[in-house]
Amino acid sequence: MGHQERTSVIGIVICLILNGYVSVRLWDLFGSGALSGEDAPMLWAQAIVWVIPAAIAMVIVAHILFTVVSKDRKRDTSADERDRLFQYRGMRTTLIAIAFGFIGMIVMLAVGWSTVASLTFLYASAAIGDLLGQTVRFTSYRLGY
Amino acid sequence: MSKLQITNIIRRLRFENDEMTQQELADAAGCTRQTIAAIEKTNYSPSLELAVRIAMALGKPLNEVFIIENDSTGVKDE
Repeated sequence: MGHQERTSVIGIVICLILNGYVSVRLWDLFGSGALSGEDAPMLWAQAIVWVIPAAIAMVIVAHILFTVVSKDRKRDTSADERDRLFQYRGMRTTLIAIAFGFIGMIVMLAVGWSTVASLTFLYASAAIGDLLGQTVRFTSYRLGY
Repeated sequence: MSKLQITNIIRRLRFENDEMTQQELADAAGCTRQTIAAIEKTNYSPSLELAVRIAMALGKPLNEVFIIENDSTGVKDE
């Protein structure tokens, strides 16, 4: 498994772990009624904002662990045209999902859904889009084209 | 216009070149070993630049490395 393919696997695992935890956290907040008041958008953002630095840290740790476990010191991390093609496919899938999420968020706000519910829909679209994008990338590597 | 079926003899040319490995060819052509493997299996069509680099690394002209299987374009060789 090459470095770029391994990156897509790491991305899938981290996406599932992080967004699984966020889902549980948001479910608890919704259930407790904390996201119904005036501070709801701020509480929602506080539950989400740590995801980005956490994802970055987890990717770095995962790559270090892979290197230590596989003892592969001479791993080639460069990306050639085929890697860029697969990255583009994955990114395109992610962006399409985010675009649908954005449109859905606008529609939800227009028909009267709460700000937090609409933002949650957008976040869910981005999370699913990221998962789908990484899966498309990984599948491309497995199939070879 | 039907799609061209392009195959290659990279694997055979590698062996004729002092049994060059896929990694050695990849290093010479500036791509990864996995890309060379995918090209040999015709799972991936390289860009013109990469195809030229591969041909140069194998010391052969481009049309001797990559071969059109079904030339139904109607373009005649003159």
